Amino acid sequence: MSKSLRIIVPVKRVIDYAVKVRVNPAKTDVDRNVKHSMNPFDEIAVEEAVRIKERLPSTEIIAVSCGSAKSQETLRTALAMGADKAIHVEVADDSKLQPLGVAKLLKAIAEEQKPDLIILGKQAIDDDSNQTGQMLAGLLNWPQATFASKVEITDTLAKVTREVDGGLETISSKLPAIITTDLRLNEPRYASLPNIMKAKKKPLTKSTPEQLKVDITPRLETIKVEEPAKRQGGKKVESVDDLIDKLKNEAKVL
Amino acid sequence: MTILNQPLRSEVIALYKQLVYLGRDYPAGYTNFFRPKLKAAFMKKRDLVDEAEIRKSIAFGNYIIKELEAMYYLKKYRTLRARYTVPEEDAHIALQKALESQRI
Repeated sequence: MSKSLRIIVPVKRVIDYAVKVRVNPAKTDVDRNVKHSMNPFDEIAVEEAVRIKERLPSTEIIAVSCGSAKSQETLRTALAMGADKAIHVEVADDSKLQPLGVAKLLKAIAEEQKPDLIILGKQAIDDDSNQTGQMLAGLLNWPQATFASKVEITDTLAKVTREVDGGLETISSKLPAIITTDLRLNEPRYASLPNIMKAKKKPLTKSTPEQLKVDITPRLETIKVEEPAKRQGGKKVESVDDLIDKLKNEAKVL
Repeated sequence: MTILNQPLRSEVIALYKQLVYLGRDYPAGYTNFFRPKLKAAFMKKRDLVDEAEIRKSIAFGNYIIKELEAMYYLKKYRTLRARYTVPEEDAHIALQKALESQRI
């Protein structure tokens, strides 16, 4: 490997995976006043970048997050896991931020930073869009390898094994490229307390959509948010006749 | 009265802080479960004076840290796998891996 790699890893702050999500009383959104953490698929993306850096120590990893001021906590986690620097694009209301807006912001950052590789989580566990990586690849006109379950970086090539319907597909692509991670790619390390303390000394630069000259007006409108229908409880029947009667008249399956 | 072993003392405090930090995510709860247990475990060994004994206990503490991290990872991975993968897909991938390993 002759030249040094530069990797951008975008991360998103989402509601923690262990929290039970509830719809707000106005039914416009979910209750966001709960514990947040880094999107687990993004953790896998950060881990993969750090593993590439462990093999090629000249690699530089830049973590990027778009969202409210609290996204900085997520960036600190990424720095604690091993990223070198962070860029925070401050957006006041991140519940209105949509994949296309994020992709445009990332495109602006990619044009500024000129990375060789962008590794993203395949989707966020809050909106489950699975769009940002693909849209970013489209906007930059870069090759993309989505749902990666294995990544090998050689001089100018990325060899990626993808999880596709009913099997695995291996593709090789030129750099710069975009990779989105699937669940089985690796086991993310834990951002330990000493590392979080050390991460506070790493550089974090701030930016805004205006500075990047990006329009992030939402294109989609959320009309209503509803909880799934509650499961109705089962009941006991007295006899076989009773069961047949209920199957015939209530469930109407016979 | 114990003779304060300064460098070890700071190591023990750092270990305690790390465990407190990890314990905040403990599934059975922090305030009512993890913290009392953690504190009791440290208090039980408060009278240790022998350096080797203390080092052994610190090593055990670090082992617990590793176990906790592994447990959190596994819990997250299992939850996500249950949410995001179709069971047959899993079976298919397992089969393919088995075939690959046979080829080698």
